[in-house]
Amino acid sequence: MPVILVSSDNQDFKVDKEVAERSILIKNMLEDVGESDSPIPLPNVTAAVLTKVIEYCEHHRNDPVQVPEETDDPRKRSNDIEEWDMKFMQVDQEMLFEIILAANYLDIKPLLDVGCKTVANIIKGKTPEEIRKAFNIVNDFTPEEEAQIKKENEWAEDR
Amino acid sequence: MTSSNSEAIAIPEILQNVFLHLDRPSLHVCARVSRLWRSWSLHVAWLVYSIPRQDAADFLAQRCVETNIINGASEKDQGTDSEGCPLTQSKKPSIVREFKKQCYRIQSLTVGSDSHSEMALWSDCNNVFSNLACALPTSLINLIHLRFGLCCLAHAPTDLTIFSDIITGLISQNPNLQHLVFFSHQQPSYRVLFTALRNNPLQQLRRLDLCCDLNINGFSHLLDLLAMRSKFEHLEQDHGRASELTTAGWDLEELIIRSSGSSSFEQFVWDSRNSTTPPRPVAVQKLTLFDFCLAVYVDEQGEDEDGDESERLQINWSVLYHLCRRFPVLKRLQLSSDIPIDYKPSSVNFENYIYDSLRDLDEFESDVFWHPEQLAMAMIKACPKLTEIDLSHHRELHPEDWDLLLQHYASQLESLSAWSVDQLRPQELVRLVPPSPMFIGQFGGHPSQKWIGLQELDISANSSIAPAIHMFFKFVPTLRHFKALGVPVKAHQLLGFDWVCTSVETLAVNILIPTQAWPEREIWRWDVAKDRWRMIGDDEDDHEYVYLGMDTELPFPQILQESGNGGRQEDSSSDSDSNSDVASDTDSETDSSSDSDTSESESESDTDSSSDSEGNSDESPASTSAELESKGAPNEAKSMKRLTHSMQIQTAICQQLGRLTRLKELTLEGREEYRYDNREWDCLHLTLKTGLDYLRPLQANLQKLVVFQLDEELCGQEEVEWIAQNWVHQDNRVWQDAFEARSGSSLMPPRSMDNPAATLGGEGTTPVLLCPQFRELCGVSVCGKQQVSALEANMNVAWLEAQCPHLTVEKDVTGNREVFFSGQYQDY
Repeated sequence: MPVILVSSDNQDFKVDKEVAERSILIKNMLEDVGESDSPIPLPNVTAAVLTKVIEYCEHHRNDPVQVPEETDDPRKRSNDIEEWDMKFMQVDQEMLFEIILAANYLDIKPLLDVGCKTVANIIKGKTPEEIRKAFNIVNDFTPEEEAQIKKENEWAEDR
Repeated sequence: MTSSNSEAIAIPEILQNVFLHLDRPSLHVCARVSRLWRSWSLHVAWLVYSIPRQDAADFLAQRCVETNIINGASEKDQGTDSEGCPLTQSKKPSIVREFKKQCYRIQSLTVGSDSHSEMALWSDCNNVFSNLACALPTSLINLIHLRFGLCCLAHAPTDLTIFSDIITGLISQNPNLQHLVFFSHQQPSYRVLFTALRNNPLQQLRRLDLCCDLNINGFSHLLDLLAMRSKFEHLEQDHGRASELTTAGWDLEELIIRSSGSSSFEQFVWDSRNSTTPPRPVAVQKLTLFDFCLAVYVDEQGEDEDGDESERLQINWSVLYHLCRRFPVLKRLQLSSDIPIDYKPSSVNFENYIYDSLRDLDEFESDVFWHPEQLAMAMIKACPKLTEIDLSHHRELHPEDWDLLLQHYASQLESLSAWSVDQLRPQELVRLVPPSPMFIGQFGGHPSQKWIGLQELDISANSSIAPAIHMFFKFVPTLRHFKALGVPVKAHQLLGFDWVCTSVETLAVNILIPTQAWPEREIWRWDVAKDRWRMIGDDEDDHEYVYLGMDTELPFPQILQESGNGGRQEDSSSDSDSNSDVASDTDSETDSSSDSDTSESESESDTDSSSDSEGNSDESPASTSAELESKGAPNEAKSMKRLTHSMQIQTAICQQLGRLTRLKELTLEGREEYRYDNREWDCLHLTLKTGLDYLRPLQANLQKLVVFQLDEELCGQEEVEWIAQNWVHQDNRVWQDAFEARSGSSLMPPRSMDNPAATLGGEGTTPVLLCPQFRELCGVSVCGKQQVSALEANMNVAWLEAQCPHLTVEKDVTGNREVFFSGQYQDY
């Protein structure tokens, strides 16, 4: 049974229910609404981004549902991105963050993880100034604070 | 800055998620980007911290920061940082200072090591704690996970004192601990821990993992301590129903004990037998006892009450019996060895590995049995809620016990591990198999429709169970992990139907490929009266059973002579004509014996039927066989027929394997020219001529292929190229183009092998590595086969390794398959 998703710019997207339910948000909505043909509005997601999200969900429609592993270490790896996912994330930075925001809003954890891994890989190997430049972040430390922090953590950054 | 950029990065959950993928040095760089980034990066950086054993004194004791010499420590002892990287002594004070400043952020702390090999090295760290006193940072109070793996020398009382102070202090300062792992080789150490647990409520504790010698009374003391912490409430039930135990209060979900020592269980049994009060229940849902040894606690058994040593013992000598009585809300019970965790695929097969590892435990194999069904009944009564059972290598249960257990738990069982259990027979194991969907439809329903559904099954090293294996492929769709190492399954029992276990992620199976068209009937039928599967011939009154002589060669079932569909039946109801009386026994849904009446001549002539193997050359083995026969070479013709038949079956099996697209790990076993049951068997060869291409869909998820115990031929040029094309570089257009371009030339690496790199970060960014799913190929033989010499095999595999840098290839250079020393492949 297909589901109709409506983007913030009023574009309709008809997708299989199985694909749409890769989003926990949509899945819960469908469970609440029951059997209904009503389109589901997604006011926080533009058509361009929704297209990408649907493409991801289609590709991963048969993936098993991720079960959180019992582990004492919440840290994750960033060097195990699947080839398809890597190509999928070859977009400009604005689209990358739009996808991350959409995945966060729609509660699609695997997509959010892939997006965050991609951002993490951008960060690796950069200096603080390079990171600021890459993401247009304002340095709100005072010069004294910055010098103190640098001195304190030099040992940690040295590899 | 674009709005989406700032918005995304400003969301704490997203920022934390990004930081969780960074290592510590990168996190410390992020801590200098901005105040918001600093806050979250430090939070993530300090979530998990590890203090190596040689540095424990520096971090957790006083008079260690300013000097770089610890008593007895060598100047060359550099120690390691929290990531395990070597550090110079000059940095250690800074690290320790930072630790004490930031330790309030730590949620997961490891002190020392939890590795047995690491612990063995402790002996060289003499007097580590000498002249020091425990000095835990007062802000180390937010731990959720604690791994404590220190050891000290027994002859150094000061070491023991500070050791106990540290563990006691850590527990008392962290009331929110949820997971506690404790490793120690020193006998008094468990008392220190128990005292700390007794004096601190630790209401959030969910998992307790102990690896220490509990000595004689340790286990009993532990259970008493846990019982003291457990609170049960009796639910008010409906009239006529017994009250049900549930838990309230301290809910320790999981208890794991390793290397507890034999005397501890012995004393536990003795105490339990002689106790005059009812056993105090413990509110634990998951119990794991590794390295559990049956023999050790029966060593001191007395004679039974009748004074006759040959009679079976009373059940109250059983540790399992007493354990179940103490843990009434158990959902998972694991009393076995952690051998499967230690076993790495190699040329040593699993059965021999078990034998070598556990031979001493089998000393009491045939002697220590209780009366049949007693132990099972006690278990069912004491632990009715079990959903996961691991009684591998267990020797306490009769077949009748297994039958009772599996009958009772079938509806709720999610996981069963019973490797190397010699008293578990096929008749008992099929209790876990629901009736066929056709039967359920015919009778309008069956209680098995409400079963939870078995997800994990490990019955390796139980060769006698082989007749039941195919039933799981046929009727259990919920399986996700299935292991049957060393259990030979006849291939034609696996054909004639589509395997329903398409959700399986781990599969380990030993498949015998028939070289001739031998007759096979379905050996199971559903007994309506008894509501269970029954093996044909079990019941003496079963007049429908027809004995088939061993050497009688009847035509291969018609269904399997049809090519192109893996022998799959098109009409699932085609077997119903064998018994039209629905009130009597009903055949299974698909019956590979439905055409056992086909004449012998049809079998001979059908060897020329088209094969679905894509690797067939113009001169098919079938046509070659006919040609040889016509030339008066019957032996060669017969040999070719066998080859043809084997190839067809292999292809059909590969077709079914190719449907398991969720497979992540696949282990295949089998031997060619294998003589068994007066017949000669072949195995899967995994060549293009025998159906390898049907495994292409496994590219979706397959990570590991293990073929150590398989006489495969993956080392051929075509086969290694196929692996590279279809399991590694299937999405790599550059590689595919380069490979096609050199088509026809010798096996040389293409010039252009660069993976496309992500450049999201702009010029000069380190490219993201591509990691295809398929990472491990274990056991590919390089000893040379009929068509491929050893030199060629090695060259081909070397080419594959060069083409696939992320693929780990483990070669099998032995060339010989180990035979399990007692070769217990029984007739069936």
